[in-house]
Amino acid sequence: MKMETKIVSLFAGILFLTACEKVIDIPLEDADRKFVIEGVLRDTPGENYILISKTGSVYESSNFEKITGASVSVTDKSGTTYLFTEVVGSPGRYTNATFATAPNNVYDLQVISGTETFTSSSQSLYKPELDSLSYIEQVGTFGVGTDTTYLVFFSFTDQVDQENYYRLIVYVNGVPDGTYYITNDELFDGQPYSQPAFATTVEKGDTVIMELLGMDKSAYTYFFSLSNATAEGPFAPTPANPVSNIEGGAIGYFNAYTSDTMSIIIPQ
Amino acid sequence: MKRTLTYSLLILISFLSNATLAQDKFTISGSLKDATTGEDIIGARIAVLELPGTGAITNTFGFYSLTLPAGNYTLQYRYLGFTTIEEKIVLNANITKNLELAPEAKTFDAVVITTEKADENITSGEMSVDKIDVKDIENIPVIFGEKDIFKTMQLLPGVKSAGEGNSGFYVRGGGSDQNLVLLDGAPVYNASHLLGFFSVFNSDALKDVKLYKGGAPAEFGGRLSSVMDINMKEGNSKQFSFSGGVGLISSRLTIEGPIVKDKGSFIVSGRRTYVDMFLRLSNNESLNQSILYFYDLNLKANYRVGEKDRIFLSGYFGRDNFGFADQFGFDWGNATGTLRWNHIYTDKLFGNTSVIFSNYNYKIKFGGGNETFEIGSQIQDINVKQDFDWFVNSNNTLKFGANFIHHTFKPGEIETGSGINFELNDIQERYSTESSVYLQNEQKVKKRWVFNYGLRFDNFTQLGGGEFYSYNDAGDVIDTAVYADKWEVVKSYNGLSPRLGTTFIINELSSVKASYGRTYQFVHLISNTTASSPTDIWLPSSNNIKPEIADQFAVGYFRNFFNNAVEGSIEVYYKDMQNTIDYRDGAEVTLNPTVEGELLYGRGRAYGMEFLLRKKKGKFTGWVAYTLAKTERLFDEINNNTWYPARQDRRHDLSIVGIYTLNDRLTFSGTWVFQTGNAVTFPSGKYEIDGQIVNYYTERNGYRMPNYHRLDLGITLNNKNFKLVTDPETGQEKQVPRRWESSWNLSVYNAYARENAYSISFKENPETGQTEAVQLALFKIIPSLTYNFKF
Repeated sequence: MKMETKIVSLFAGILFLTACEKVIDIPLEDADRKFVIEGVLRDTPGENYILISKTGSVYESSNFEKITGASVSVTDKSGTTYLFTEVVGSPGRYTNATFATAPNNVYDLQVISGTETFTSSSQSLYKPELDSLSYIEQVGTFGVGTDTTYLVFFSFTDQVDQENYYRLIVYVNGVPDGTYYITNDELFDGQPYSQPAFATTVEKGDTVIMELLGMDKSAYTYFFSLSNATAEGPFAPTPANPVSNIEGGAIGYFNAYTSDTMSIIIPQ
Repeated sequence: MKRTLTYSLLILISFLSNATLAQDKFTISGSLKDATTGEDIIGARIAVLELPGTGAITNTFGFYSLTLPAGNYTLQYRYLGFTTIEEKIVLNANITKNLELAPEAKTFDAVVITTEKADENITSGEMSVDKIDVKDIENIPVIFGEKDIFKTMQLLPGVKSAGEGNSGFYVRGGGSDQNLVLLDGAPVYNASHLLGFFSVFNSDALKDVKLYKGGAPAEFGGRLSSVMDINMKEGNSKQFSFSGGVGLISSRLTIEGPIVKDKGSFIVSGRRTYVDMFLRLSNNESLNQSILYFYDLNLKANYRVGEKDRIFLSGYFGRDNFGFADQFGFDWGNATGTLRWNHIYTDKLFGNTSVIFSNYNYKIKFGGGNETFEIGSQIQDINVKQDFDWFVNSNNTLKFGANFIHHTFKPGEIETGSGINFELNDIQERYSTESSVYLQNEQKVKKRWVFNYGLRFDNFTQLGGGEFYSYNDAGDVIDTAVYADKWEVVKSYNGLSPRLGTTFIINELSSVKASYGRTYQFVHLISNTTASSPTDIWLPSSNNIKPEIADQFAVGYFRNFFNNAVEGSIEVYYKDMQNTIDYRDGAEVTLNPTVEGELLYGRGRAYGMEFLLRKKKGKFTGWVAYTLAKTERLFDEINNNTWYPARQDRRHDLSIVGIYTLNDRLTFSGTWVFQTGNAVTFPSGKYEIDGQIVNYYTERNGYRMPNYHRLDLGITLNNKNFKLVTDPETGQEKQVPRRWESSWNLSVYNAYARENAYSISFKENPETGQTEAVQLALFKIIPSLTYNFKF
């Protein structure tokens, strides 16, 4: 329920149209470099990857050091181990062409790079199913943006008697819109649910694809805290690192999930 | 603790026996009022010329009582800004004397030289108190020309602004939720409008404001850091009067008058902003359907029923509205109501019974037609309070009383319209009670000493109805207990708060004071954002959240100069806080049924020095306030369990306020503030994840914001409010007030257009790919013009 924060920020934005921004010089101390692991396992073969890199200096360009030559493996609850190999021409990116997650499984990640070993575990829960997508027309957004926009709603039914955690990724004309829509079923356990993608601007003729991810709690916590960490302004939470589910001193996340996708086209 | 109680009882008994031993003593009591408006005068001094150092002070309702040995006395009734009255009395029986003080006459050269001693700050038993006369704030320049007691308070030592243009404040290292804001005794839970840029108090309706930064009397409790006690005007009981103002962003109108002359009066005061009315004129459809305004309504009525009884009814209602057409709405506000009954039991015992209501809520609504989605939250109090002032003898004033509050917390209620085919569960409501008794005595000993000692006992009980969770160290629910009955006790806390203070009067010009006080706080504002938001919720102490506790010690030296024209003081304080609240990294604090699992509990400490030099009389008035302070927190889970600076930690704060009254018509004013930066968290690295660049942090609040400074200027031009009339008897010219009084106020906020950092964010420049520190400055230079009138 990040909605309220967004609204307050929008409100603040309107209030301070007169505010001005400028770049200033703030000396920062440089932290020791840390390993960054991003592990994405999904139920479509060929779309799974583990990215390994390192942090960099704030004021340096974002060409982060990639970790090559690591040994990366994933083991499911039946004990089957899948090796992930580094993609030629993409240093730091490790994949397995045939791997896909299955619902209600547990996946253990192991990454070994030199003397460092990192592990994580992620649980895939039931496969969520989107019921429908719909939209309503909106005239104006407080004078900001174009006059007519569309608010796209997604609907699904929650699995009863299980703690479920969801993330929605919205693609507008094939481009992910970058907003974190993250929710859990504490307020609607086992019931139908619907919500607009309130921070995504959609216009006439746009194609909107929505992907609903069913995740475990540690991935939910990671993305919730990542959305906090990337928020800006006075109504953003006190800055903090997202809560990682990787053991061994690396930051980042490991998320083995199942998902469902639907699309809708806004008429011209 | 038992010992403390016993001691207090002993002390009480000892002075009570003194009181009964003394023979042939009589009491003079009564009330003091403003001769022009009939308003009660709070804090006026009644001095006995024959007995220096003996006297009385009027209470919140203008009542005083003074017991002296039989004899002939000259009593002097005095209050700053009013003509002192001297009354000769023959005290051989108990006397009632109700008097009216006239405001000081305006003379041609505008300079009133009074011979009275204004040495209250030396001789009073109070310390760590900031007082503002509402009349004083009229000339101080403020943003958008909206005079605001909170912003003026922030110019005094020990009170820090919560941010640029913000009415929120921090007192001596405490949080913004640790201030008890009372309007006619009713707690106001969210005292700000428009995201904090304005306080909810329309100063037209206010009479008196007092801020206790420490050592608050035992009659106050429930918040850790400070008590801001605000009293509304009673309304003019002599004649009808209208006043108001038209400003840049809002207009105000106040109507007051007698219900029955000299027996009862009322006041109604309203304020509304009108940015939205201009937006409505716009051709742009998306602008002219926008809703953006706030309003306040203050009401008060009082009626004197016979000589000994008086009834007061006061209320406040204010709301912010923000929205767009019928598609979206967001509104929030406070409502308070106070019904009070004053009764003079004897000429020494004054009682006040109050029934108080307070509510804060917000609502957010999306969608139109029957496809709506509404989120709401509220806190509501019902409060019954009984207070007694017992003017035992000329050396002892005893206050005692009891208080019972029932709190209802609704952290989140979600409603969907009929067109929406699903329901969301509400967050469980919570109920609790807060019961207190207190006893406080001010005792003067041998002219040079004033002792204040009091004791307060609080009980806070969380009541049942619903599921109560227990959490492990990681914040995950490990156990759920169900309490079906609404009045079942889930958890109960007791707190005993001693309050001690002493004043030693060195000589007529200087004194030394010291105080110690313990405070408990049982309700907590849950907010992990930098600025406070209307959607922040209050939660009660519970099976998981322990009451916050603070112990504060303060010592001060008070010295007046130039025949009391200049008051000076230096205070140092040390405050220790237990069970202060912070949040886990990535905490989810809104609409979270298990929000208590997101909280962390730690310690806090704050210490500092406050310096104030204030000139209260003459053509040139104003003050210099300087605060040197440090405030830190300690949590197991943050910064490896080492002390780190709190968000409001700021080393230096300097405010200079000057008001120059050139003549009857022109007043110039200026304020300059300088502050070093607050503690802030900046990144010390960055990385790429999920397709974006994210900052990497190593330390909470390890950096500082840049220094802040700002100059504000103001000019008030009074239109000719007096006309000259020749007195037919004496032939002398004298001033007669005009029926219609008016003035113009021009103020310039941030006169030299300093770009002060409101926030600093580290973002990647899309063109260069480099990360930059981007500073956001909110207000560059804001002139505003206000027209005020009265008739």
